[in-house]
Amino acid sequence: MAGIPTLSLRKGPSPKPAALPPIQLLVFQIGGKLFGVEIARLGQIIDFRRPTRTPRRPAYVDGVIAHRGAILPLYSLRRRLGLAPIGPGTPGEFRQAILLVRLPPDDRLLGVSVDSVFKVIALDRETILTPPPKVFGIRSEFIRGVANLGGRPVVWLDQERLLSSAEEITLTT
Amino acid sequence: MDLLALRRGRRKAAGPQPGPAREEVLLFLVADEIYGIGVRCLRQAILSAGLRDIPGGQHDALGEVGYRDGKIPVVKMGVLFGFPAPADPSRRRILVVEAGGRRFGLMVDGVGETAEVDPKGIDPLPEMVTLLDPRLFRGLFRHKERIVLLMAEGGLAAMEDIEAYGAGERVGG
Repeated sequence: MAGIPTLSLRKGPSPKPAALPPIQLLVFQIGGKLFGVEIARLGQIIDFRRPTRTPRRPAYVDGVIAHRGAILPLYSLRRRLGLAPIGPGTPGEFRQAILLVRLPPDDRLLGVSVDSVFKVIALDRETILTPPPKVFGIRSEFIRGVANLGGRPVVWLDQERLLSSAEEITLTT
Repeated sequence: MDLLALRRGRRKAAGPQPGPAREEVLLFLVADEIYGIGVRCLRQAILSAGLRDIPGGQHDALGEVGYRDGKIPVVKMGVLFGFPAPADPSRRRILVVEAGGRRFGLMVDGVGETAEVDPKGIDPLPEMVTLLDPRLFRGLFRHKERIVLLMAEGGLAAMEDIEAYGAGERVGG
């Protein structure tokens, strides 16, 4: 009995592995640099509003805000990255916004303020680079990847790790 | 006059009261944020002119003031909370509080109105929004588009500095 030639199994078009969908990133600015968070892990973007300052708060906490009947903590990503708060003498143009994100393990909702929202981009996974040990002074542990947006690097942040950690970070300029 | 009529039992119900029990809260300012404390623990609001440091005192946030025939410890709320001193100190008052069997004062930057609060509308303080002992706060509630931090009189009375204040008056037996 003639066996089936092994090679015959390789004839014809081989099925391609299912292409993973591109990653949608919300790109925003902090200190003039571009950062991104995955849209799928983001609740909402709302206009910046003055927080109620809580007493003796951690450096990266701005206070609390009211949103849809709930009172949420507001973190400052700018302060988390070691930058001074925006003041009259801060160079640059700002249109601050608040990103609503959920943090594990209990999925609690909180607001994160950013200097300004830039745009939403879709990135093919193969275009996303593994980060070097540090990008702009941020250790790779807090970074999910780096992408190129018109010649400017976009740092895709792991916001859960970044906001859950107390490690001090100083953004390099 | 400066004194507030905030004595216990001021409101006597004529009969059974329908609806949820609402709590009366005095609103006060520390820096430009609004705080509240239950009226039931308040005895008086007095001028802050007599406030002095405690001889040999080890805590900047604690002073003392003459009250009736003795003296009571006073928590300087702005110092405790880490807020700058107000530009206009003329509105400062000392709220005389009785809680946990102790009588003590809270120096605040201004006294406002009273508000009626539904206890069900008091949210717990979110995690990580203050480095102070969370037992100092009962929670947060919304009042006229502002967020009010509600103090816990029992937590204030249990502060080590108040407990350690040798001359602190014991009240209520």
